[in-house]
Amino acid sequence: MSDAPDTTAPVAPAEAASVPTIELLGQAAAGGCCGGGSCGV
Amino acid sequence: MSEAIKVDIWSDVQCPWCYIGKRKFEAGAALFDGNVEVEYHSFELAPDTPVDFDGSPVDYLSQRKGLPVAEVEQMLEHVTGIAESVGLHYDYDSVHQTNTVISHELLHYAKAHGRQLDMKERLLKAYFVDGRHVGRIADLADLAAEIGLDRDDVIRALTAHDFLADVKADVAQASAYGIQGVPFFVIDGKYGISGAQDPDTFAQALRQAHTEKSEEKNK
Repeated sequence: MSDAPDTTAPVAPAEAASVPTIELLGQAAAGGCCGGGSCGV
Repeated sequence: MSEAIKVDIWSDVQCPWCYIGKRKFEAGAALFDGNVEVEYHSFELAPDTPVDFDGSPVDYLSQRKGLPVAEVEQMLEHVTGIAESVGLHYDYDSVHQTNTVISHELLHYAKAHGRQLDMKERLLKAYFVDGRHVGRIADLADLAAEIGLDRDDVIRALTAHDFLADVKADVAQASAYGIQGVPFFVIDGKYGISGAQDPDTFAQALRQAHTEKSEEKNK
């Protein structure tokens, strides 16, 4: 049996903080992970 | 003492670049001559993964990304080499691919107990270096106990999913910021840095935020 909850279930999220506009810094090609595994260099 | 610069970091426990990025950020923060306050936030790279995924990370990535096994092995070899360069000894042969939502709940539990940074480090090392399972409540409670948290209370909180709403709020906020990959660093609520950048990039952003904060204060 899985321990993981159904994350698609309608659990009310705690209120997200306000989201100001952010300015992106740094190189575009730095290593990162996106859905499904590693992306970037 | 100057006011701390807040850094919010979105990250997933099973993201190899997040652990590398953590080390690079820490090196950057060490170059910055000021105080830094770090808070980790949840990002689920693969929320549909079963807790007990039947296969290796190579199987998983190959299936999920539709890539040949040889290409995935090459990717992991590459990232393992980068990890080695920052002092992290990844052991992909021992990694247990899993669902990380409960590990994120544990990170929120640890935050509520003032131990989030220690828990984050323990979870990343557990997953990439020690070959421990980070998807099951009992295994997570063992890891929490290793940093001094109350094992029984951790089991209670994770079983009741006391912190699931906080995980969801983090994920929602990441989406609002437009974050599509991790690690993602938000410096002082103003500057975003995506990926495992060089330490100098972090140090420079911290200095910039610090200078602006000081100027604001002196206005």
